[in-house]
Amino acid sequence: MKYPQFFALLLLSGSLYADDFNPRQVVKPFEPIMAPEITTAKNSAKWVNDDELVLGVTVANESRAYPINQLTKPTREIINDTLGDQPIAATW
Amino acid sequence: MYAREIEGKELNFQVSGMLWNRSLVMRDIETETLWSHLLGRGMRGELEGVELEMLPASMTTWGEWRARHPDTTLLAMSRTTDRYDEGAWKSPHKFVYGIPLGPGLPSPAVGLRKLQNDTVVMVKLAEATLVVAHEKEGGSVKAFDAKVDGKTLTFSASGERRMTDSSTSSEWDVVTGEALSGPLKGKSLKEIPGTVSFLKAWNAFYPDDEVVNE
Repeated sequence: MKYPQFFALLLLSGSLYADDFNPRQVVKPFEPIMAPEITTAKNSAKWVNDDELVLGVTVANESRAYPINQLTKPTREIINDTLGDQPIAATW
Repeated sequence: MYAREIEGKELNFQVSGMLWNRSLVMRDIETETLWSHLLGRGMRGELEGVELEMLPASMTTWGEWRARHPDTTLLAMSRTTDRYDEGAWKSPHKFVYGIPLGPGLPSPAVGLRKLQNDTVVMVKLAEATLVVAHEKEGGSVKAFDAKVDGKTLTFSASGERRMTDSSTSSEWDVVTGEALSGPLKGKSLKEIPGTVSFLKAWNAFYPDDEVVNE
């Protein structure tokens, strides 16, 4: 479970219907993350280990990995980035 | 993983702090439209009804990703947790690999436990037949259209990182979707973008779609 505390709030709030868009504000909005720090595989040791999971994507022959352990927190859920000249939103 | 461009206009997304169906709601700061994170669809605001293009992304280990993409770069932000290593496959019953085929089309999903057991799973739908394949060492999952040159193939696992189609006995790489040997050598399967998701969230969004678990 990513946010058990949020799930608990939702479960208390009653039934959910996929057809109705009825979002609930559970925390205040977070500042968007734009133009994040990026490094090369050579300098990866500080940021990720071989056995850690990453979300990998390739656009126009450029590849980038987003370590899940860096994306796991409500503040980090969405990374606005650019890869191979394509603006992308890294999220899972 | 989404392209964040609509008709040439770049959007920047923030976490709205809202949840809907147990899943994150995003907001773009340019139009303030609210978006479902899982559906990739504008739900309220100027861009309501607009769909973001999903990009093929793989969930795998850093070691495997770097071996396949030596020139890769990576995000360099501090860790917020350390729990997502290969051990995430220790709770596979909580996760699915979901494949939304698009508006008006089905959104099938395969349980990670099923993938862990069988590694190669065929998903037959009225609209298309998919092959969903898991590479155990790196933990990646990929979905491909099972049709090659107009003919739908049936695949089964045939050793590490390999699957074989029953029509020609060609051997295919489960990560790249390329035929490595046999009559179809050199052919490539078309990858269909999918996403690892929590089973509960997937069921809430796609209650009528099949989750292949047995």
